[in-house]
Amino acid sequence: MARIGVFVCHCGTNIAGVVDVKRVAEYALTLPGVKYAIDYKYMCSDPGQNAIIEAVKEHKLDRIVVTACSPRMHEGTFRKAAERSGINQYMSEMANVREHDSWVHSDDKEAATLKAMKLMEMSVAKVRRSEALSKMYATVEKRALVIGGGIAGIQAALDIAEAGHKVVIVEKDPSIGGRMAQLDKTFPTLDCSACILTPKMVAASQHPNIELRVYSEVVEVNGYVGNFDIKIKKKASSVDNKKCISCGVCTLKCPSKRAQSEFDEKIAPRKAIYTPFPQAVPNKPVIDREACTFFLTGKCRICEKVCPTQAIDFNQQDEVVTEKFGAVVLATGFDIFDSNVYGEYGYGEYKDVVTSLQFERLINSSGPTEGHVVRLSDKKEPKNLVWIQCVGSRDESKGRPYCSRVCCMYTAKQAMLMKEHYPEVNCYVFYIDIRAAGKNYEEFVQKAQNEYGVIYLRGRVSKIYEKKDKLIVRGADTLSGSQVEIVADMVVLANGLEPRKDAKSLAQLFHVSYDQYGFFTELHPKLGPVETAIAGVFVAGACQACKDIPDTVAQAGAAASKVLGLFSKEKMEVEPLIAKVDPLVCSGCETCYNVCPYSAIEMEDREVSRGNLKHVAKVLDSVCKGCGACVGACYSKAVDLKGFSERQVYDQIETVTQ
Amino acid sequence: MEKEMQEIAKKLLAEKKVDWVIGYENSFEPGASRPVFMNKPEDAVKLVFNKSCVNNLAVYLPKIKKQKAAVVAKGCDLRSVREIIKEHQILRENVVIIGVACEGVESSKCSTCTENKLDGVDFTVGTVKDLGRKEDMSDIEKFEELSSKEKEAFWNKEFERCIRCYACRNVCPVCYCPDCFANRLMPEYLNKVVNTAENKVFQQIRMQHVFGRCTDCRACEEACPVGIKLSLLTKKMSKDAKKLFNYESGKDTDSRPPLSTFKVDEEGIAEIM
Amino acid sequence: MEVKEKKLNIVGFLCNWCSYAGADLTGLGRNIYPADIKIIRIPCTGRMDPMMVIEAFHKGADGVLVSGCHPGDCHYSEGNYYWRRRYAHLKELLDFFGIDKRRFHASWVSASEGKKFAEVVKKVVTETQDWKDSNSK
Repeated sequence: MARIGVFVCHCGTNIAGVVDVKRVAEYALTLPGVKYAIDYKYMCSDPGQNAIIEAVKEHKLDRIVVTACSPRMHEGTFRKAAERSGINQYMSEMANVREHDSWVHSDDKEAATLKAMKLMEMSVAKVRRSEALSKMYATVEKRALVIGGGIAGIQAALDIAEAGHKVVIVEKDPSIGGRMAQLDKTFPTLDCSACILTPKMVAASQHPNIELRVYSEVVEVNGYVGNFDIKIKKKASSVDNKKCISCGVCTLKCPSKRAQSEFDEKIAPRKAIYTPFPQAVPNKPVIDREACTFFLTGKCRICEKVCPTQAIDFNQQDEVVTEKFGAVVLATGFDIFDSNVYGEYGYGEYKDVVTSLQFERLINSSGPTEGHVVRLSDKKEPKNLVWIQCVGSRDESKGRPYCSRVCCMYTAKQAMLMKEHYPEVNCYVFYIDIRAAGKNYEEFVQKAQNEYGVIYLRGRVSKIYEKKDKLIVRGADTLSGSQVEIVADMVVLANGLEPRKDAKSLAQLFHVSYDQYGFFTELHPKLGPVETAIAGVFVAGACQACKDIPDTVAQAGAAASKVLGLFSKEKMEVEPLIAKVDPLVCSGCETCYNVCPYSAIEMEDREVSRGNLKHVAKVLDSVCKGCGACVGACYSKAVDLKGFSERQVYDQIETVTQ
Repeated sequence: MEKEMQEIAKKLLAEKKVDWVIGYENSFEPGASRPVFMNKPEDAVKLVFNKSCVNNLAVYLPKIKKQKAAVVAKGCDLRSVREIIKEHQILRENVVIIGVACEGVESSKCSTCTENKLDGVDFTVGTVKDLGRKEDMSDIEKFEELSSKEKEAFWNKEFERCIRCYACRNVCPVCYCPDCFANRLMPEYLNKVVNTAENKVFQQIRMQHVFGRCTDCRACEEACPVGIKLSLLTKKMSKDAKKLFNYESGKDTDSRPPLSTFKVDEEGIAEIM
Repeated sequence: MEVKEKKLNIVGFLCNWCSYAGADLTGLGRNIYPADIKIIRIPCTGRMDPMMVIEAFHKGADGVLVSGCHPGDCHYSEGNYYWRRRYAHLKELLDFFGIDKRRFHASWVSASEGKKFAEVVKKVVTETQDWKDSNSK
């Protein structure tokens, strides 16, 4: 007969404020097999865990139930406590009476208490059928994959590489650098973005432990923490990088005028053979086959003729390689919100309404206008500029209720830069609120207003329309309560941030969850900000949530430290909660073999009795991830899942319906 | 026709192409037949085929294990044979299928039979005719229209009579599990007590298990000693497999049963909230 | 003392990665929903054997809810697709046996849809109550 201990946590008033915890503990003592039950203020605290350990020893308990918060929060804590008390860690169960009870039924304390009793009873029923499981170990491939070569990815890679481990950076563009490379200056110091980023890019490319895979994408992911098998596709660049000496003649001579520079936010043309920007790392050109005259018409081959080292290879094919990694850092960054969603601002219709990133390129001294800010329509210098904040931020009606965190700051920065370059211009900013909660941020915005004379108007812009060569910006000034109309030469939209368009499909490859916008979901909003629910997959930078450069760098470092923690072990413990087959009962119908998403089931002819070979299923322990699809599909009920076994689930069902 | 069948069986056994021939022979009761298993060429003369040959002989195939067998199959039985091959209960090379051109036996299914074709058999006995019969789901549609209460009342009345002899399961070609859930103890999937509720649950689970694999051959209904209207259920299964997954069981030996596969975009399924 | 009407007994099977986490988030956001549902944690909706649903109704559950990751988001890639098929046919089968469709539900609730989970439970409770009221007439 089982000897079960039940430990009912108050969680301060989180549970005890709603649920009558004493009654839950008293009820536990009436259940078969329960030999001990107490309630305690904080079960997860040191004294709480010690109380469990002592009770197990004193009352010779062989399994425990902790009635507390979600197992997703503290299952590990109490499993460890169980182990310290001398029982198998899988002989512990939790009953979730906080997230699933006291917090959601605070309107009816009696119902919440009855439900807590039932949830506890269900866990008692489950633990009664628990089996001691032995630990399983897996080796750790001490090689990390960083996806995204922006500042987040570069920083994470450098930190891991510095600690002595191999890192591969996969970047889908032809160069690393990401968004930060596009920026002119950075807030709140106004130092040049390229000046602080370029040395890092070079450091990454020269580090003996870092390998750059640009113009590449992850296409398939298999395996698990410590042992990911990842397929990486290198797109054909049509240039042999071993031969290329980065002289740039090909780009210079390329006659194609079809493409617009992605790096310059499509305000300038680029050649068909190109590097995205002069400081690109690696500095090797690629041919955009959709813009290349040769690929489109079969004639041209000028780059091939001018190349001094015969590096052009029109026959190059996409290459797919499969490699092993122990850990992955997702650092895919952001896109800016689509300005077209705000029809009233006339983006796309009026050439002088530009996005914030387009403005960055205009004011950047290495940009297409060499830092000379001109109107895209007539190349004239603007005299009156208007910034509109919260374009795709804090706007429920556009499906973007969140604050993008960086737009207030970069708006102030851009307006200040404009004033610095052209002291005579007028800069207006329409805002909802100013959010400048960072070190020296508020001071920075104040400086824009007080020292630089940027005019801030609190209110939304309702319409922009063109009148001759001017843009009439009509909006409300809610502080003075009046309508304002500004005759502007240029309007800059302070676009909010959103995840990259392909973030969702990448998340699906790794089975990382994401929110409704596509931002990757961290393991815990407070206590697991760089981990994901997938062991061995970490997040850094704006792909997880909107953040600025300092926060991104900090998160990248944190992700790197998590990777290093994983790599510090020779072997890693993996959960033994996997499927098993009873060959005597198996009918060999291959249903489980068909449904297993991991090919973790093998069919074999096995001698189940003397001389009697039987066609049966077999689980490959190291491949099985414990999803249970086989159990759900098996008619013979020959497969079972450890930790969520048939007996456990059936006893839970029986308890709940009693 | 019988003569033709006997010759084939005799030859197969004589040439040791098969270890067994499974067919029908006359029963002691006049006008009745029963399954026969023969391994001697001289026994082949016993083979008969007439209106009383209702049994679905496919049910015996999983039991021949690694031996080889020839089986007499009507068009409807042939679907079960294919299903068993598909589910790896027997290898195709271990079965010789003797298809018989059937124009109907003494079974409720025959008046709406569209399944007398004999595609992919090894031998065809007789000539397959187009019977010009049509599928009829009107009884199922009518039953679906009833209220939940009426449906429940109907089945309670049916399963009140059930004695849990498991004949339905034992004659079912796709109920080949070595140890049926109904017999198991840990967990006890089914209480061993015979009462309406448990009897009904047994059949609910059995129907769920054979969904997309059942060919509506009616063997279970034919075998039921208390006359439970099981064809209502098996027809419903067929209808749903077609409607939800555009799937008909036993049409081939290589497509996956509907619950062993999926589509990312399911056309036949309503949205889940 | 006020006499309360007997509560419903609804069994919820939630997959660990999406819906269970989503239900946790419902708690974090303090979104109130009826206490009639009790949750059994399963690793994935692919683990859902239709027998478990049949068993729950057989043992007297008024309603059953099975909730998992949205299509495409399954932690194990495909489990929810298999469940979607099992659910579609099981709902038909149980209805044919007289287990009203209002009693058996499935939903997709992601780890970030705390509010949606509360809405789903409310819907399941309302429909199950609706069935119970009409059945007792």
